Amino acid sequence: MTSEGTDRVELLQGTLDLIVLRALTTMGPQHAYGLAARLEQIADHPFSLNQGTLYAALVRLEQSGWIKSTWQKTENNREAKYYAVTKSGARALEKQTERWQRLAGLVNKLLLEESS
Amino acid sequence: MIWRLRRFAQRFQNLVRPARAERELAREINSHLLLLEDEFRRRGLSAEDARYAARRAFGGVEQTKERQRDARSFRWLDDAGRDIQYATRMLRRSPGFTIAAVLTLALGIGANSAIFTVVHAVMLRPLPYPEPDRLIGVVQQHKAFGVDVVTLPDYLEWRDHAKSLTALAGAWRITVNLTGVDEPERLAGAAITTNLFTTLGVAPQLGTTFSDTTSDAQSVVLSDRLWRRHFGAGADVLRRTVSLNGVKRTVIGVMPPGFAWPEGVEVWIPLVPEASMNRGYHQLQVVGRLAPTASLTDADAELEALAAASAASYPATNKDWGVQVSSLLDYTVGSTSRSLTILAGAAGCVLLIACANVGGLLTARALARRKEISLRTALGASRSRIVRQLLTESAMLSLLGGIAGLAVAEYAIPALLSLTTLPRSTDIALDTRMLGVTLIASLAAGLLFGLAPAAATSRFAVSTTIRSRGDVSSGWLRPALLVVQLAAAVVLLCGAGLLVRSFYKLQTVETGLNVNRILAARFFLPRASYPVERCIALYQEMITKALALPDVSDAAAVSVFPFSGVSANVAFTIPSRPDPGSLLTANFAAATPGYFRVMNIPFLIGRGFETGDSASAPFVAVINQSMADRYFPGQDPIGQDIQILGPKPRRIVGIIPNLRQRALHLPPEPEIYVPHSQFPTGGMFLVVRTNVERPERAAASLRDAVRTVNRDVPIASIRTGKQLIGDTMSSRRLNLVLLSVFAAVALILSVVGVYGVLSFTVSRETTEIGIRMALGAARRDVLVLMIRKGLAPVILGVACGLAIAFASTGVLRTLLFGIGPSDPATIVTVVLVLLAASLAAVLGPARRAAKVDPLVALKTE
Repeated sequence: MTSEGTDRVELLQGTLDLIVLRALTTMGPQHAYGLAARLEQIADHPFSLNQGTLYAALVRLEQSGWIKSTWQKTENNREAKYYAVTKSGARALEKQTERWQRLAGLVNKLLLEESS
Repeated sequence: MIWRLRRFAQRFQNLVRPARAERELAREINSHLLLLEDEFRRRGLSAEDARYAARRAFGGVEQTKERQRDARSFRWLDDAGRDIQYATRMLRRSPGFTIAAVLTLALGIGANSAIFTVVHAVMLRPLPYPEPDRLIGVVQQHKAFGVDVVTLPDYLEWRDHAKSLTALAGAWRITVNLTGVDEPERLAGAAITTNLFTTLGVAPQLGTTFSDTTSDAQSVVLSDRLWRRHFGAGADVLRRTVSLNGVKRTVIGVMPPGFAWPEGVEVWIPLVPEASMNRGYHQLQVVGRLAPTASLTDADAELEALAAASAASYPATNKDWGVQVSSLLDYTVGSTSRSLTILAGAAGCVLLIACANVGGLLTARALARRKEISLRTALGASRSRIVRQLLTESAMLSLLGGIAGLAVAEYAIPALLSLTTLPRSTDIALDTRMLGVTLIASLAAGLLFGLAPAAATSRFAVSTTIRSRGDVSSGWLRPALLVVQLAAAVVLLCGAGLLVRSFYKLQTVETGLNVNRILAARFFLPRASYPVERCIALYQEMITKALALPDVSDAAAVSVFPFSGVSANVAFTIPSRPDPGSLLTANFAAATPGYFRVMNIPFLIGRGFETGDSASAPFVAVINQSMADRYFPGQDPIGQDIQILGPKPRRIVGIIPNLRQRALHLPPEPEIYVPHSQFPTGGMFLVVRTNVERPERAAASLRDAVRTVNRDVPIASIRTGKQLIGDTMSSRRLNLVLLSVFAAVALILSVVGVYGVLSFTVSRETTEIGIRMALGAARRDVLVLMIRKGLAPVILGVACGLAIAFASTGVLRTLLFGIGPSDPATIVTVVLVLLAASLAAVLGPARRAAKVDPLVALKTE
């Protein structure tokens, strides 16, 4: 079990899905381990990603038809499940990104207003 | 959106077939771990260290799987499925607990389902007529005599003058011999005003009903049941001729299935008004339909005014008679609603006790499972998850209880109906709606009594419970439930106790009659087929045939047999007193000479009837003591003349003692007997005294003997004297038996509750007891302490219960006989019984506490 309450970033519902989708788009097909490593790497603050949430996000995305998975060999000849973004996934990413930015803009504005 | 549908479909698929997704996930996580392991080995760890490091880095495999499962399927459904599985396992593992809880609930739920099915059928469901709430029933009410049905002249007056009513109809209950069919039968019938069917708004399913023309005077309308039973439900029944009481009548219509007004009636004939224009003869059941703008109060006020006018015009018959208008539903249900309401309340008490009891059981169990629950919390189960798990268990229990309760109700309803005759109860059966109500009620009960223990349990602090016994704050819960239980039990026991004592008092009422070996068979010889001489001769012949039977020691006939439900009340005059000031009435019966001898009725003064008292001889009468006291105070009634039902005076020749004849709880009334030969009524009871211990054994041979006299006359019924007395108690029996059963259940459940609470306390406080003993407490001190602890909630419960009982037993007042609703003997007995039973229940656990070995108690800690 991961330790409680240290520096874990609590993600908004659905945010992780967007992050995973985006990461897969830029990185190309990737397995869960690779994704986890990558996400830890890009966050300047290492948010110790809960593997459970990652797997949940992957299954959600796959069930929605936005990513699809295949079993492949890694360069070290291990077998792993690779996830790749589908066409509808790409379209969804576009739409969700737009939505996110609108929302983020709104939240930012509200937060700034309040603190001034 | 397509992707939502897609996702839903996949989640559903994963719900029903989780195996594939589960395998896939395990494989994926395994690969993830291997990749991590590779990474750590690259960083220079040994194979083993790398494996551990990978595990650590990955985190909780099970938690990960759990979250993925949540996402890939429907979590709550999945959880519910697992909860049910787990609950089933837990319940199966402790069969004693499960059976006790399910049986307790089955009793509570079954009793309620049965009672409420009956309450719904009798009191709540609307009458089966169009616009039933516009229908009213009317009775006449005398200041002193109480309520009675309506006289024909009064009915006609109301019908013609009341503006608040669009229709008013009447029915006179009669019994008829149906002949001219394969099997002669005695039936309940009604002579009705021609507008009865239209007033109720019911059309025949076949043919027509009566019109106002006189051409219908010889016609008859049949019930659906009779039509099916005797005429094979054929359309050719119309225009057929049947014989009713010897009169030929033409069938003109058949009413739809289920129609019977007045209740139980199977044939309807038109009422001939001239026959009974007597202003003092109350005979009609009256039903009316309110005018669209009128209310019940309007109708009541208007009829009351009409009654007042009649009282002024006809003081001899109408003085002091008012009216009482009620909705037809209330009119039909009548006094039954009170006893059913009481029973519904009692059944509610039983359910409350059952729930409290099961709640107590569940709390004890939940406390005993503290460690298990703490462990599950430690393993990551959330509080809501645990509460849901516990609620699933109690819901399952209550559902099982509900199902078992339905089975109980299925058997209880016919048993309940057999105890008494209720109005509107012919087609009572558990219906699907009742099924739904029961299941919902049982689930609600389950949640209710599961909530408290679940809430208490989920509060357990993880660390303290696992490490030690960590006392829990919910120690008050079970005693509180116990107090509720005991209070309800006291109320039920008081109610049942009062009814039992009333019943006992009634049973020991001295009737003055010895009916031990008496058998009474009812006949009716219609005047149309049996003229006066033939009627007298036929009864004489039946008596002779009966006397010839080996089992019969004596035989006679009488028109009104005690406790048979048949009664006749007549007005009479005393010629020597031209103006008595008010109407003189007495009960009336015609008897053959042997009747007083058969019934062992002695004569105080004078003589009984003799064969010489024939139709041509001077008319005579026998009266009872009450008649002599009321109408001839300070005089010798022997030799006085009275005039009843005819111009010829009758001389009083004998006086018999007072007998209770109508009902055990009613005081003896004035009575007049006349010889059958001088008043040859067709409806008589053949009364025989048998010389066998069980008179019902002689019934078959009596029936055969009577058949040889006349094949055409149906025997309405053969009952023993004891059965007839029992029948008059039948309406009491319903309340008595049910309340007693409920009270017994309540007592048992409460005692079990008392035992359970204390034995639980003892096992929880073993250490404390050990310490007390180690510090020098004597065993006796511990015993007393524990008894005090066990009885404290009992005493509180009894006190609360007594308060409630004092406030509520008043509703029983009308059902009591010879005692008041706060009868001290009953209450003291109830309290003593409860205390004694509770003491017996606490003694076991208290002894166990006193036997605690301080060394052992302290060591186990």
